[in-house]
Amino acid sequence: MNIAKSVANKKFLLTFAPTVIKCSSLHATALLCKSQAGKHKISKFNTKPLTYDQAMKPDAIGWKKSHLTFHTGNLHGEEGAYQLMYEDKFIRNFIMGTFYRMISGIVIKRRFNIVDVIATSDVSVPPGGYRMDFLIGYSERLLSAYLKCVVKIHMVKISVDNSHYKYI
Amino acid sequence: MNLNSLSRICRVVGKCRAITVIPVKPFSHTCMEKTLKQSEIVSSKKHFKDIIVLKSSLSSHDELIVDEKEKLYKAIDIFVKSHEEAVLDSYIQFCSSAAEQLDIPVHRVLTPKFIIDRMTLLKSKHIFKKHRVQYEIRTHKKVLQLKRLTGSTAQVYLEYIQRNLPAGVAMHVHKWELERIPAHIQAEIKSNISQLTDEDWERESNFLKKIETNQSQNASDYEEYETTGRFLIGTTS
Repeated sequence: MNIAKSVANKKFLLTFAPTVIKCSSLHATALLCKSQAGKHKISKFNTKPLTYDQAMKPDAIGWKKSHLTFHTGNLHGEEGAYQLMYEDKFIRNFIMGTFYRMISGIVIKRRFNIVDVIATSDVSVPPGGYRMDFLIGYSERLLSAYLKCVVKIHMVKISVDNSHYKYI
Repeated sequence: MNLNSLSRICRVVGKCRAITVIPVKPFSHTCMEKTLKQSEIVSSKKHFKDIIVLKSSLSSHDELIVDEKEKLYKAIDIFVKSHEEAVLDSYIQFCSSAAEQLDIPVHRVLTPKFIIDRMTLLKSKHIFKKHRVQYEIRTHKKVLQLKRLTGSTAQVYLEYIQRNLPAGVAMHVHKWELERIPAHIQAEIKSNISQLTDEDWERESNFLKKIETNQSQNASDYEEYETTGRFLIGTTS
């Protein structure tokens, strides 16, 4: 009777069991689900700052996190994924280089012929010193010449508290 | 662009039905009548009145105002795709409210099922074939179906909509145009209509019924909305 009951219970439980099947080759638990994407190396005394975007893992996209580029290349049935990714990488490298150590995050939005580059800086720059306007104009001109599009750069000043979400 | 100004433009253009101005030598009144009769217009009397009103206002100019044939659309589908469904929701709300402002009847809003493109890649850069990593890309879709538009309203509406497309949203516009029955077929119909039997009339009415029922399909039938062919409003296949 008891054996029959236990067997019946097991069968009942199996109907509501999760779809994960435990066998030797498949590991589906959280502990073993290791992936290197979105991981940052920790510093010795927790001095390395991370932005909110960097602090969230990639599986939080669509949940706590949004994308840093907005274009239609990766949609199902749309073309241009490779070219737009390449251009994004180029834009990011260019802007990190021209505004060296002044930028915490870059967001790129594409609408038809226009590329909007929104760069957030948390560094307070003296007004007469670095000539921010000149750098913005210069990078806009060069980028639009390279990419054959209308490139607009928006510099947004953020306070350090808002920019640094976590120290690692 | 302000919606009110747009709506005003729309109504004016709708009345005048896509005017084109062509510079011509000074002409007589009888000559103008002839040109009107030769071109096929929907309602000639009303059109004539409109032309006369315009002529009196521009009597000093030596220009003939010719009415281009206004295109009539049975339906227009606006098919939008994005990675984020919240963005699509708000955009479609905006589109339907804009349509209401311009007196365009909105048939319905469909949400076909989102598509997931999955990739299973190797986790390690060297060996360890058994350990993989899975990534996925989701595309959400929405369809806004509009009924009974004129060409000028469609032009204005679509331009307004497209100027306000958010970044990362792809739009496809499918249009279904109404065309006049060609003259030779019309003549044939006129000559042969008396010869139709009761069977023929029954068959035609059944066909119309099929079209009507096809229009009121469930949204689940549109789950794979990608191309125009299978989802024509008014077809039976």
